[in-house]
Amino acid sequence: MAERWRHELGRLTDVEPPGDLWDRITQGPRRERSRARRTWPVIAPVAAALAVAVAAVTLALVRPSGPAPIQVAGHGGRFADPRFGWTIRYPAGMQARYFGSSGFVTSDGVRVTNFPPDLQATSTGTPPMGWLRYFPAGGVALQIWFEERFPTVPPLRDSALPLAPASFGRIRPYSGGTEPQPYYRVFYGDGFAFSAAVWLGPHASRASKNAIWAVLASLRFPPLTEGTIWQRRYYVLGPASRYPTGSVTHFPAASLPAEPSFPRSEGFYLIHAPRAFYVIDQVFGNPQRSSVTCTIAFDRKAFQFLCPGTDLRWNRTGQPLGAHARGGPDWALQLRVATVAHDGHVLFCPFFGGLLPLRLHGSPWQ
Amino acid sequence: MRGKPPDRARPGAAVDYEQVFRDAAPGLWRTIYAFAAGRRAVADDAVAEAFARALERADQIRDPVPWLYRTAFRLAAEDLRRERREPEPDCDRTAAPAAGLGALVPALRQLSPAQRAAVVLHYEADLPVQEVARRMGTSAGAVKVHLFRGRRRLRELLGAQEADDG
Repeated sequence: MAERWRHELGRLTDVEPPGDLWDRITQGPRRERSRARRTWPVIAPVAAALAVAVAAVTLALVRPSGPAPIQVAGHGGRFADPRFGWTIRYPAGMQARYFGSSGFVTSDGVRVTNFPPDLQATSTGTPPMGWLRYFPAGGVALQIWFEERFPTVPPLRDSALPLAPASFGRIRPYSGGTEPQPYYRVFYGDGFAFSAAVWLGPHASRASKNAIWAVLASLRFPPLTEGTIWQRRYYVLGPASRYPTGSVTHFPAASLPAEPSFPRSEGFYLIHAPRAFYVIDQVFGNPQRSSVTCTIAFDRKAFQFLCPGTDLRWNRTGQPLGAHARGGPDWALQLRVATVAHDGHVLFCPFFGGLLPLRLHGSPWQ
Repeated sequence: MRGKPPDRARPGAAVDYEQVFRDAAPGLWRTIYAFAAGRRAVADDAVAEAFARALERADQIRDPVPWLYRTAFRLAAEDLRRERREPEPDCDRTAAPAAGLGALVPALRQLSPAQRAAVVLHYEADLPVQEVARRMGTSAGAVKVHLFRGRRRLRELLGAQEADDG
C-alpha cells in the first residue's frame, strides 16, 4: 500500500488528454511570437528599416487567393467557402471577409465581425491574427479556417452540426492587446479538420453574443457525390447505410475513380464494425520480407482474410492466424480509418497512413 | 503513465512524430495538467503548441521528448503568469478537478509549479532525478529540492498514512 499522497497522485492516470489534441497540433503553432513586441523599443530603428523589405516580401508571398473578398457590411448575407463549399449565414450589422494566403503554409477561411477589423495590424502568424490586438470592447468575432501543415489522420466521422458553444474550450489569446480570450475548437467537415474561434468583447451585448453563435450554428457542408474523389484526398464511397454493421465490402481497383494527381489504390476492403468503419488494403506486403506479397481474398464463411495458395490468414482485425500468429506486427494487416461524412457518405483516403489506432482505442468490434 | 517512454531519437534519423505523440503525449499532457494544477485549457494549449513547434523544426531537434517537455513547461508557465497578471473571471482557473482528483488538485495548487512538475515526473512517471532535471530544463540539485519540499507539502495536505487501494 502506498502513502495516501502517492495514492492520490496515482489517480492522475485516470485523466485523459482531449481527443482532438493531435488535430490541434496539425493546425500548426497558434501563438503569435511575442518577443518582437517586448523588445520593440530596442529594435525599433532596425525594424523600421526592415519594414519596407518585409512589406515587399509579404505582398509577394501573402496574397489573396480564390475569389475576391466577400464583404456585405450592414446587410448580412451568406458566405460560401470557395474551396470546400461550406456555408454560413450572418445577420445585418456583421461583415464576413474571406482571407487566404499561399506560400510555405497556406491558410484560408472567413472572418465574421460586428466591427471593421484593423487588417493593417502587423502579424507574425498564419493566418494573420494581428487584427485581434485592437478588439473593441463591444465587439464579437468568429473565424473559421482551414490550415494544414501536413495531412491529418482522418476522423471516424465528421463533427456533429451545429457546433455547440459548450464544445469550445478557452485558449490563450493569439495576439494580446485588447483581444478577449478566445473560445476554440477543431471540427471535421467532409473529412478535413478546420479551426473555429469565437471572441466576445467584455462589453458585447447579449444580442451580439447570441448573433455570433448563431452564425456558427448556421454552418453547413455541401453534399458529396458517390464515385468521385473529394479534394484530391478521399474516395467518396456509398452512403454508410448501404454497408450494414458486420459487412465487408470489396472495392477492386477498377471500380475506383481516378485523377491524374491522385495515387491510385490497388483496391481495398471496407469493413463496418460496431464502433467504426475501417479499411484493409487488398495488397499485403511484409515490410521486412519484400518477397512476401499477395492479393488478399476474403473468406466470408470464416470471416477471415487470406492470401490464396499460402497459409497466411488474418482475423477481422488483421491479426495473423496460425503459424504467423506470433510473427510480430510485420505480419499484421493495417487497419485504416474510413470516415462517415456529414451527409452519410463514407470517405476513404488511400494514402497518408491514417491508421485506425490513432483514432480508436481498443478493438472496433467491442 | 507508468514506465519510461522511448525518448531518444537516433541522431540523423527522421523522427516519427505521430509515434512520439502516441508514446509521450498522454504522459506529457498529464504532467502539464498537474503542473498547471488542474487547468485543462492550459495543458491542452501548451502540449499542442509544443508539438506544433516541434514539427516545424523537426530537423533541428535531436531529442524530441525532453524538448517537448521543456517547451510545454515554458508555455504553460507563461499562461500561468499571464493568468495571475490578467485574471479572467470566467476562465478555468477555478475549474472543477477531473473526477477522482477532488483531493489531489487542491493539494497541488498549494505547491509551486516546479514542485508539481518534479513530483509528478519522479513519482508518477517513474523518471530518475537526472531525467526529471533534463525535462524540466534545470539541475538535478534543484529537482531534489523541489521533490523534498513538494513531498513534504503533499504529506501535510493529503496525509502520510497508507491508503487503501479500494
